[in-house]
Amino acid sequence: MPAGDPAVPAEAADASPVSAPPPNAAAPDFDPDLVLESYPLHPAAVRLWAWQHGIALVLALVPSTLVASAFVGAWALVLGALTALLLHLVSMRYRRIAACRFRCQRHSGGLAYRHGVWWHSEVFIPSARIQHTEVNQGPLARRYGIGKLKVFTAAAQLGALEIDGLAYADALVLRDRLLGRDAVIIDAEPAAAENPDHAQREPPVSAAPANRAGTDA
Amino acid sequence: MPEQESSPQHPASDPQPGFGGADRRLHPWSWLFVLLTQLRPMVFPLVLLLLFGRGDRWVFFGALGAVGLSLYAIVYSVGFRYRLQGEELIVREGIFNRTERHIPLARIHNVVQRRNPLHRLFGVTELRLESAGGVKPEAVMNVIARREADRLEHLLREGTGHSTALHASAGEADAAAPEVLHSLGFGELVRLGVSSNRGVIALAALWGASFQFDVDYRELPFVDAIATSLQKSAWGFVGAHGVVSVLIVALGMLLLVWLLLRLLSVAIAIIKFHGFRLERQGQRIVSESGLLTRTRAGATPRRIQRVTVRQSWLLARMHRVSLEVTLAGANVQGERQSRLRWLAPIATLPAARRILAEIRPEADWTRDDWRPLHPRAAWRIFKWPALVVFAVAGVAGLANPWAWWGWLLLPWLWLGARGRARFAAYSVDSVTFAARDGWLSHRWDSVRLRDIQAVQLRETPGDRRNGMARVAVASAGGSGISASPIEVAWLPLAEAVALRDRLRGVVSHEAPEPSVAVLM
Repeated sequence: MPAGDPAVPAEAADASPVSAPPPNAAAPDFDPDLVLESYPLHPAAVRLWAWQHGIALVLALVPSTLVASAFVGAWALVLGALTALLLHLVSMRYRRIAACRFRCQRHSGGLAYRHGVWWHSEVFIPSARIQHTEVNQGPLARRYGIGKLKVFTAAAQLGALEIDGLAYADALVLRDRLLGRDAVIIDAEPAAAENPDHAQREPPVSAAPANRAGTDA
Repeated sequence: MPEQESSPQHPASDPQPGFGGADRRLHPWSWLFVLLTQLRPMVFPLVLLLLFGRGDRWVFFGALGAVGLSLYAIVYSVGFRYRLQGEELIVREGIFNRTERHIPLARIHNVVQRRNPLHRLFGVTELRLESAGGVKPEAVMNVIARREADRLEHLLREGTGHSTALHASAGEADAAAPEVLHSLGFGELVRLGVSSNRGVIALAALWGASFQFDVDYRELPFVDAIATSLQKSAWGFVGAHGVVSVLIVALGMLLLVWLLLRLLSVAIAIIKFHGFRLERQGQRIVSESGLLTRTRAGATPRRIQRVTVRQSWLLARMHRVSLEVTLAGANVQGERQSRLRWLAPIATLPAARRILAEIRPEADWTRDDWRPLHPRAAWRIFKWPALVVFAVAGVAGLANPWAWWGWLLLPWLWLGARGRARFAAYSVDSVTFAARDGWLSHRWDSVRLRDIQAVQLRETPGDRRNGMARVAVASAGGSGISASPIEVAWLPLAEAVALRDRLRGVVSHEAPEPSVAVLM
């Protein structure tokens, strides 16, 4: 990726969760010259997904184990534990590959997003087609400073693109640049920096203006 | 408010000054139609209530509801006002809670008039104005006089005088009578009915509805009588003539059912498309059709997002195709889709090409730059259905050896897969992206590059093993199946990537539609 990544949080460089080998016959990337900026996966996103998977696992397995215990008694516990272990292993592998597959780039004409573990998908949305956007942050994601960017176009299907796992500040920066309003970010900066709870926002946002000067010209 | 009372009976002669300024109201009989619109979703429960409801309590509740709805209908239609002011249509609704909406005329892209037999009896029409965005139509006038609706439509077409560039060239073209691009006679309607499956669909819907309402059709007196007599005569026939003739008779019965279904299809086609006409009026195209309910839908050609040409096996035998378009605009939920959809439900090949040449020349499906799929595409299409058929028939055959006959489907599946892989293709030039697909029934989809909303490259696990990929192109509008992106599957990976890069390059430099720019 070009040197001008706007938003590589300090710890991203060393503690990268990405170590899985690329899957077979994956589509080659876009020409790097087209890419204005690349927005990395937040380093804690894998941990966030682990939490989400864990919660889903508990919610699904506890009731089904209880139901199963009515039929097979204590064996249900063993069965449940084995299933949990298996699903946990699958989830671990899934998360590793998902982190490796994640790629979010802003091009001069739009947004390119690559994701998917079993079903690889790579969507390109021209900026001129974006109708509105949404940045969300759930309670767990807030703890890690992770945000979810949704981009809507007029298309009935593929019309809503959801990018999960960006740093919250990155999501805001990306949104504003897609909508072509850089000025808003500069206004938002002090507020983000003042808030001690969101310390993780600082590096990306402060890095952003310098990069913008270099790439948008 | 005196100036409002005076307006409905204005003469139609002065479109500009007479229209501006004064508020206009709905037709005096509007409340009846509003009431009927309100009742429409309740028709089935009401019928059930009448059939199965027992006791006075239900009748009382029903009456209460009816009174409430009528009051609402009257209040609604009395409170509805609209007027044209400059380049805007201003619509006001409500008596206690007033809503006033200003709709720039330039933003109204789809205009729909609908008249069912009751509308026609009263000489009124339901007028629906839609813009590109939003979930609801911008304005629904339920109902206004026919003449009034035509006048509004005329104004929308021409602008109100101090006009924008959009309407600049429309003036002289409109002075002439509308130019008819396509129309359907009785013979074509019959062909349309014969070639379509509308009868089957209608019957399936009826059958589904019978489940919904728990109607046991064996309890219906005539069905029971028919079934019993058929059974008796059938057994008598077997006793008298033996198995072979029974098979022949069974085939004959199937043929009869098929014929009846076709007849039903023809009837539906006539009801739906009687008097079909596609016209060009200045910059707009307008289609009108219907035997009982006349629907008249207009749109500007540049709002057409996707053109779909279809040719079922029977249509191909008749050397005909159907032309369908998807317009930009909201997917109106709960409303019958009545906006412009058919350029031609059926047309001869030259006629269809002529229509497209008038409206969207780049959508011509007879282009010759189609690019094929991956050489192994047929095998990929065949593999999974074949495996499923093989396994299901194999397992079922263990229980009953007759099921092994199911394996005879395999050659058929292979033929289909091979035919589809040979026909499916895509084509991209500097203006449009087009894709075609199908085996016995063919379809061609095309979208202008400037209308593309998103481009997706997808690889399933099977694609990755075989070095293939699929490219999907999303356009705006549509609902249900027509809303799904145009997808070309089983392409060689390198070609799919090249296609993605090419589309990416073009769409990111295309100028946005003017209306989108206004919205942003």
